[in-house]
Amino acid sequence: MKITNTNFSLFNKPLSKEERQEVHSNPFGINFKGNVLTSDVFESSKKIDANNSSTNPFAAVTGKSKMVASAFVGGINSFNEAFRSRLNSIVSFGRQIKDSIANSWEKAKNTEITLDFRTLADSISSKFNNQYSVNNLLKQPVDDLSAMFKTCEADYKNEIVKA
Amino acid sequence: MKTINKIDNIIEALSRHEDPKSISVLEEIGTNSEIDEIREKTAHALIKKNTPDALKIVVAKSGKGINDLSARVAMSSINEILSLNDKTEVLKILEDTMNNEEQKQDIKDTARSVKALITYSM
Repeated sequence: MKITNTNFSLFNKPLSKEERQEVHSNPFGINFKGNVLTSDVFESSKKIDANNSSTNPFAAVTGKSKMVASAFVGGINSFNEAFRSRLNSIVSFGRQIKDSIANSWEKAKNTEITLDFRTLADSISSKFNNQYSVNNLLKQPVDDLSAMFKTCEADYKNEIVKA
Repeated sequence: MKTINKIDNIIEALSRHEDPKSISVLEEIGTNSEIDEIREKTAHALIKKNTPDALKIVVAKSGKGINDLSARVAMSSINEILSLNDKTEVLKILEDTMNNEEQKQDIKDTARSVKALITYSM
């Protein structure tokens, strides 16, 4: 984009709403509001001519374009501020995580872990010593299984009748 | 443990028990039960045994296994027979039942149908 092609002037008639939107719209999405233009916008034309003869690549910049450039720099500054504020929020988030981890560690250090092995062993053995597990039933004689079958069948019949 | 789960385990244990008396226990209590669910599970256990004595009960006896009055029990028994890996023994029992002159006609017909099913499914 050529800076000299910008059709923006301080002395033109006031811009319409649409025109203003066009002027202020920019591809970087940077807000120019609140930026104060620097005084070099109002430099005299003599100085411009003097600068034109120098080797400075920025010397060819016109008064109008200087204002735009200044606004652009101001925009960069606002972008930096926005970036810094976001960075700060990330840093504070990281600090919160660090603090929470530190707190958790402190809690873990102060927590006493106890295991009730007797209860655990009882519950495990009750699972394995289940009278009605297939493995235990296989060890029993068929006559005993027959008696158990009769009892359970009668119980189930009663359950169905009650339901 | 629920009663039905206990019954499941007892039937499973009897189906895996090596004592031949387990077959008579399954027949006496399981296949004569008033509850369809128990008759169905017992028929499955007898078919899983895949022995001549156990298969005779579910194939050739009236009101048991494939001849059960409950369509659910009968169909479930046929399915279990069809899912056997080794069908040699059951085919032999079905053949004997079909050719047994003393056997009831409806039992013979059922045996013939099941044999046809097995033949088509093989």
